[in-house]
Order: sequence, then C-alpha cells, then structure tokens
Amino acid sequence: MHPDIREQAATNTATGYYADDRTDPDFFIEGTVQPRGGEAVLTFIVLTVKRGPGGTTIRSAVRGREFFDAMWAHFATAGTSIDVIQAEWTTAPLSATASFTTNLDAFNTAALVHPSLEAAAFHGTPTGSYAGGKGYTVVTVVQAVRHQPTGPFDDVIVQFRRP
Amino acid sequence: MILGYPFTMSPDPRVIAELRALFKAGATPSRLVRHVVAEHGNGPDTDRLVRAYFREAFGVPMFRASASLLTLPPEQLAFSGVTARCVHEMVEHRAEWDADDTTSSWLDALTATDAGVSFDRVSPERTPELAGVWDQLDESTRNLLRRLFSSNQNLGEQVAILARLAEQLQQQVIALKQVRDEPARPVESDAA
Repeated sequence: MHPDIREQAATNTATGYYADDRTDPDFFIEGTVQPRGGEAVLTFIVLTVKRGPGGTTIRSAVRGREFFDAMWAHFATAGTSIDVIQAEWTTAPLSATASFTTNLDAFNTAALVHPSLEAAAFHGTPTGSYAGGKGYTVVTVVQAVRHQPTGPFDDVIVQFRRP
Repeated sequence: MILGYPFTMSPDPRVIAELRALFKAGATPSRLVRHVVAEHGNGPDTDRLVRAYFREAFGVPMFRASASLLTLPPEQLAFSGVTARCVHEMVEHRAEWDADDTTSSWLDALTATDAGVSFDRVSPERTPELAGVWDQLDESTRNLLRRLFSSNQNLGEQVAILARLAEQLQQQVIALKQVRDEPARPVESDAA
C-alpha cells in the first residue's frame, strides 16, 4: 500500500471504507457496499486532483488506482462480497475546487473511437481499468445522458461485473 | 464544533429525524446540507459527515457534493447538478426511511427505480416496432435500446419528482407571502 494512504481503521467496516492522503487530506477515497436489486453494489468516490490558487492543478501523491487497491484489499480482508462495481460520472461540481470529470472526460473521448459505450467505459477510463484489473470485465452502461443534443455525455452510470 | 481527525462523529438520530422532516416539507439537498453544517459546524470532516447523513437518513449510498458549494454565489445554483439524481435516490429508498410515517406529503404517489434495476427490467423487444427485428440485432444494439428505454423511464421519474418538489416550494412561497402581507392588511374593525 502507498505509504501516504491513511486508512481510518477505527471507522472502516465490512461495508464502508475511507482513506485519505496523509500529506493532503483533501484527497481521499470513500466506498460503500450496499444491496441493490439482489446484488452487492460497490459505489465509491475518489478524489486525487483539485484546483489550486490561480487555477493551478494540484495532484495527490497517491494515485487513484492506489486508493482503489487499498479499498479493495480492505473489503477482501473483511470478507465482503462485491457483485457490482458501479461508477457514476457527472459534470456536476463536487466542490468549490474539485469535480469528478476525470473518468467522464476519458469516457467521452473514448466514445469517439470505440464501437460501443461499454467498450469506451472499459478500455478508455481509469475506473474501467481498475475494474478490469479485479476481473470485473462484463460492462453495462445503464445510463448515458447528454444535456445538449450533440454535446458530450454529462451523466453516466456504468456497472462492472465478473463473467 | 469542528470535527477533528480521526473521524468519530456518527449521524445524530435527532438530526436524522429533522432532515427527514425537512425533506418531507420540501427542502432540497442544499438546504439539508445547510442544516447539517448548522448542527455540526464546518470542518475538515464535514463532507464525510454529510455523506453519512444522506446514507443514514435517506439511503443515498454516496452523496456527491461538498458543503463548500454553499460558499459559492447563490445565483450559481451550484447544487442543482446533483439535486435531480439525489432526490430520485431519496424517493427510491423512501420505504426504508419513511415506512412509519403515514402523514401525507408531496412525496406521495411518486415512484423511483434504481437505474441498474430499471435497465434490467425494461423490455424493448415487447415494443411492436422492435418485436419483429429484435432477434436480428446484435448485443451492442440491444444494450443501446435497453439503455434508451431505461434512461427514458429514469428521467421521466426525475421530472415527475422535480415537478412536485417545485410545486411544493411554490406553495411555500405563497404561504410565506401571505404571512408577510398579513400585517399590512386593514383589520376589519379598523375599516368599519
């Protein structure tokens, strides 16, 4: 595990996980596993980029994949079964200094060159790479909504399952 | 109170009840975030606490907005980007958090279905225009049609929910205006 990942062991549970970057706690991952439609669904947010003074970009010392791997190891140790990794990407701002558009931007770019949105989500996004690395290779884009008729996608929900 | 590290603050049952009552009265997610901040202060763990409150109070797995959005100019309507989906999830889980309260509210008669569940349930092949050609379509095209059908249902639910929420808020504005204007009206005995 990356040495700057600070897990909150006191409050992490079999269905909930939180860890931050000890050098800058603005960067974090939070995940929860909840039953939905008869499956155990992992939903998470991970923040590793924010806007700094003067519009500069500040990046965490911890990469998104490293946060994800730490969370995954936690749930594995806790014996938590995960049927679905659900990713939700939106243009809506997360905070005054950050948004969650890294995956969405990658998805929109990939959608231009891949034959399906499923292929774009799997091959073209960081979360697709994380999920694929854990064997969750069956991809379903359950929602992809544009706010403008010819614009990029603004709200996307993707589910990753094992074969 | 400023929440310190490590995070030890659990959602307060009293505040959870207040949040539910506020929502049933027509409060939007931004108003609910404001209530959490008013109760607990604004500190380094506020956003995590807000997410815990939405999870505990309404079954929203991951609330995707920061209390820092409250600091932006009001005209930016910064929370509007998460309102539709968040309120949809709150309605979706209403049976879990509002089962014991039988008082009527703007939420009555609304339905909301999880996007993934909706995707699994839709049956585009039963549509007359598609029934005859469904077997000839590849899986990618079938998924596209399922996504369009389920998105249509999901967005329709969101519109219905937001329409009733908007009307609930309008009724509150009317009621508040009446209260505000009442002192200016001549009292009957004075007019006589």
